[in-house]
Order: sequence, then C-alpha cells, then structure tokens
Amino acid sequence: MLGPSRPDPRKCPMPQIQRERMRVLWIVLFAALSMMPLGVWKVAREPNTAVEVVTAFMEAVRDGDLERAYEFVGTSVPAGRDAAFLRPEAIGEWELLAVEQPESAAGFPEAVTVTIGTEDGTARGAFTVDEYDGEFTLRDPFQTVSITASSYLSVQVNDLTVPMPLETGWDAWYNGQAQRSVTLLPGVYRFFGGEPVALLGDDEGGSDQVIGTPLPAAGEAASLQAAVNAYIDGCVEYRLTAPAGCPFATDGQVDTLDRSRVREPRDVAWTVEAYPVAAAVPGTGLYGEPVLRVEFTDPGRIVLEGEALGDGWAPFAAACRFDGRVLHVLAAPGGGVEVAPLGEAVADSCRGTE
Amino acid sequence: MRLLKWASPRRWSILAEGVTVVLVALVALPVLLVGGREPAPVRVVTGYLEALREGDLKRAEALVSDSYQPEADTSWLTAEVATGDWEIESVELKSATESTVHVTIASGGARAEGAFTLEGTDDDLRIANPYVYLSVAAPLFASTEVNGVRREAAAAAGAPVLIALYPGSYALFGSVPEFDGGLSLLALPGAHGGLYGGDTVDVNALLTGPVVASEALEDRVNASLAAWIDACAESAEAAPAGCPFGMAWDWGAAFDGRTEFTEVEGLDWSVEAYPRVRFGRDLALTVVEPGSVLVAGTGTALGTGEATAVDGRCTVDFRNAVPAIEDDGTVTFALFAAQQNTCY
Repeated sequence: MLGPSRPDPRKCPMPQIQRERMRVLWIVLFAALSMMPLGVWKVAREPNTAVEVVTAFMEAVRDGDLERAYEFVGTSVPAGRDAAFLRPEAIGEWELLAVEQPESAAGFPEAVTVTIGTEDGTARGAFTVDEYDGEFTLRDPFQTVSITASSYLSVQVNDLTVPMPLETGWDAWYNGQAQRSVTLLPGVYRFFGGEPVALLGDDEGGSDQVIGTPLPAAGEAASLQAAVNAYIDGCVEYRLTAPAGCPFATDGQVDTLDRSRVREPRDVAWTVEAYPVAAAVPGTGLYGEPVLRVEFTDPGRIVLEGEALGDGWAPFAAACRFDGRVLHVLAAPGGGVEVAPLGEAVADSCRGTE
Repeated sequence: MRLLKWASPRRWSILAEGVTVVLVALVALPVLLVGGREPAPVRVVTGYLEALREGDLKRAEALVSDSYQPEADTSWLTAEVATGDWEIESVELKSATESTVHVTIASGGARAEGAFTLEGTDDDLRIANPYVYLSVAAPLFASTEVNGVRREAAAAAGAPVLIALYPGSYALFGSVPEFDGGLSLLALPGAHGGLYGGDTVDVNALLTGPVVASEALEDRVNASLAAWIDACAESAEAAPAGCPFGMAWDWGAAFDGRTEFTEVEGLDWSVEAYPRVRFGRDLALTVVEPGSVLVAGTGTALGTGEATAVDGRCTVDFRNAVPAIEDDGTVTFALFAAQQNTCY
C-alpha cells in the first residue's frame, strides 16, 4: 500500500512520508469524531419534553426572541395586520416562575401550567401541548383580546403604539373600533398605560377578554382650542344651512337680528364673529366607552346671512352660537389632539339667540 | 522562502488539515444554520412567487389549489396586468406547522409581510390563498385601472366587486394625473386587512386619503364643473338638455320663480355663480358653494296671456349631478334623473 521510501534508522523508526500519512489519518479521524458532539449537541439542545418545550417557549417570549418562540408553536403564526402586536416592543417585563405538568389520573397528558409574575402579583395559565413523533409543540398559545372603542387614534400595548388611522369616513373608523381585536403572545400587558393584565394559557373561545380603554388626557387647552378653531374654519367655507359634521346649523326657522322669524333661508353664508371657548368633558360613547366630548363654555358667535322668507323674500342676518355636541376629542399617536364629528349632529344653533 | 522551507516537510499534513477544515465547515454550517434542505412548503411558495416574477403564469397556476376561492372577477389574472417590479425578500416557516408559509416582498422601499396557506399532501402541496382581492366600490371612476389595464367598473350599486390579483406590485388609477403614476399597492395574501384572512384590499381606503388631500384634483373637478355649466348656459331651451338647472314647469311651459309661462322664447342663460364642490371622505362630491344661473327672455304669462319678460334666477342642482372620472383622467358630469325646475 505504501509507496517506496528510504527509512532513516538514525532519526526515526518510521519513514517520514509514512509519518506524514499517519498524521493525516489521525487528523481525519479526529475531525470525524469532532462531528459527533456537534450532532449530539444539535439534538440535545432542543427541549424534548412538554415541560421543557413550554419552558423554552416562555423564556424565548420573555427575552423577546420571537423567532425561537415560534419554533415551539404547532399552529400558524398570524401575519399582516393580525401580527401588528407580535413584536418585542409589545412584550413587557415579567418572570417565569414555574412550569409544571400535573400527573393525570386517566393516563392522558394534562395541559402544562405556567406561572409568571411581576412585582404586582402572579398569574397562572395552562397550555395544551401536542406530541407528534416525539416532538412537542404548543397548540395556539396566542392571546386574542377585544379592545373597546376608544378616543385614541392608535392602540398602545406596553411600549408599542400602533396607529389606527382614519382611512375612509369617521363612521367606518368608529365602527371598526368597536369590532377590533389584537393578537398577543402570553405575558403581562398594559393597554394604553393602564393596569397590568396577565394573558396566559389556552385562548378558549377567543376574543372573550375585553379590554376597556381609559379616557385620554385632554391635552393642553390651547391645543384643543386650536383644533376646534381650525375645524370651524373648514366648516364656514360651506355655504349651506347645515354643513355636515359642523358645530352650527339652522333647521330653516331663523330668528333674525331684528327679532323676526323667517324661514327657508337660501344663498346663505356663515361668518365667525367670536370663536367658542372649548373644553373637553368626559362622556360616554355609542359603545359605552369613555369619551371626551367637546363642550363650549362660551358658545361664541357666528352670523348667518342670506335671503329668507318672511312677509316676502328678503335679506336677513341672524346671530347664531356654536354647539360642540357634534365633536369628540381624539388622542393622536404623537400626543396631540384632534376633533372629529363623532357626536350628536347639531340641528339648530340659531334660534333663541341674540 | 523561509515560510516555504519551514512548511516543506509537513506540506502534506498542512494541506490535509486545510482540506479537512474546509470539509468540516461545509458539513457543519448547513447543519447549524439551516438544518438541512428547505421544507417542501417553502419550496412550493418560492416556486410560485418566482414563477410570477418571471411572468410564467402557467407554472404559477400549477401550484394553486383548486379548492374554494372567494367569488371574484378572475379576468385580471393575466401577464398583462401582473407587470409590476418587485423582489422576494424572504420565504420561511415561522412555527412548527408546515401549513403556513410567511413571505416578505418589497418594491421601491415598500415592504409587505404576508402568509400563504398550503394544503394537500407532501407530494402535491398547493397554495390555498394564492390571490389578493381588490374590493372595488368606487363609482366615481368610470373604470378600474390596474397597471395601465382598464376595465369598466363592474360594481353594482352599493355592492363592491372583488377583483383577484396575483401577489406583486401594482399602480392603480395611473391615468389620473394627480396620482403621480398611480396609487401603489404591494399585494400579498395575508398582508392586508379586510375579509378572507387579510387577503382583501379596500380600494376606497387607498383612494380616500390621496383624493381628499389633492387640491389639484379638486380644482380640476371644479374647472370641469364650470365648463359643464358654461356649455349648458349656451342653450336657449327652458330645460337645457342634460343640464343641472332649468325653468321647465309642470303647469304651462316654464316658471322663472315669479311668473308661470305658457310659452317662452329667446331665452338667454348666464352664469351668476359657479358651484364649488369638494370631495368628502366618502369620495362623494359635496357642495361647498351652490351655483346659480340667470335666465332672460320673453314669454306669455299663464292665465293672463300677456307678453311678460322672463327674468329668473335658478340654482344649479348639483345633487342631481353624477360625476365620473373617465379613462383619460378627465372629469365628466351627467344627470341622475330628469332635471326639475330650479328657479326661485
């Protein structure tokens, strides 16, 4: 097998080229052996009992390593808008206190119970774990909660704020608010900076947990006033008797400045003489949620001019006031406020004023 | 030279060591990083997306499941429409299930993250949600335009039509000059809101922001409206045909707001004030300032039979006007119903 060589008995009992070949053999053998621990490590590093799998899942969630956490999930991971809150920033701080699988009397495996805690307390939930071909996976550990309608143009979960902007009309936005749910990983969450809520364990029935939304901060009075004034400026451009969504209107019966009653006003124009003074007051929305309504502590003054029918058609002028009931205050994602026509429409703000 | 001299007695072993290191790395890296060959669902989805990018729709369709799909207009699933330029960023399984494949695609700075659902056996895996659906309920537009291809908007009143599109990059309503080449849409199943598990795109939600924000479009609509009113005012009829104002009257021939006439002649319409309209968030045009026209002429008064001057002021009844944005982007107006008398 070995090629011809000239042994040098003075230096070594084995020819040099033979030694070289032996050395190569040793290196190859060593390299092959070194692959074995690699394979063993690859298998051993993966958890292989139900408790280990749930522990590894919860640890990965706690550490914000979602890619690893999903490896232990046996069902689909949400995508697109449904995954808006499946991000590390949405995961709060909590500790994994215990993961146990109670013995089952009937011999069937029980769900794995998990206990997590924060300084505010502990929470416990149970996850169903499926086993297939020796591999354990969690069956749908995602937590779905409904969030009630709110006065926010965003949803805040822990440190993550996701804008929920106006896409089409305000009605569609408000309807969408009442039907929305968010999908989260198990953990402890503060919605809109409120009290912590633990969401843990199998999500039975889905969306059964309803998260109420707090009243937004009214913000600075000046920014609300600026938003209201800008809204009114947009409204007075409309030369209509009752511009949609605006905090002033006439229903067609007008008391004029010279104290007569005229009707059927036409060719009208609105002129602001004094902006109302706006304040935000707590109220209740259509879905029972807390909202901030706009109330005018001083109704201001807006003049309606045009032509109307009294004894005959004649020009008229009437002093009207502003009525804030049509407006709600909404908290913008950046911290400012907006006003939106989500309240009760104003039918008439002209009669009975001077 | 010194280095070579040092190496010469061990050259075979050094070479063998080098080769071994490379071999170990080649074997170990895939084991550590990938864990073997790509799973079948990832290969199927990658194949589908690559076929679409290459325009090989036949190869793509071979990977589509023939199970239930939403009732939609599938006539847009053509190479002519699917011409957008986009990249596949990632195709991966995220969880242990092989029935959902997560995908990220990108085009010109925009990214979309979605997911495909697969069904079937390992030998014959098919994509169950291969398309994105455009929900079209925009009667404002005479036709729907996707990547330069236009078809008449088939939307029945109030009921949105679903248009099936392949995943990819699209420009909608590119002929409207104010949209600067069109509203861009990166379509990917699972990436959107709406019905069918995030596969539906509400076209009105795409349109509303750009339409409401565009002062140029509002100005153009008002200019078109003024031109329509001007053309109508050329008429000498009591009821200018197809126009949103008129003095025709149910009793007799005409009424100018004061006098009823059995007949009128030499009518001259003139515009007193052009109406000004604005897009609302419902994409309908609402009146900001009502318009009015004046009418003059002579006529025979009803009852007395005396020759009486026609001297009327009539409002422009925009509520009876149906605006449409045509294929070339121009704005046209038509009447919803026969125009009644608008004089006062």
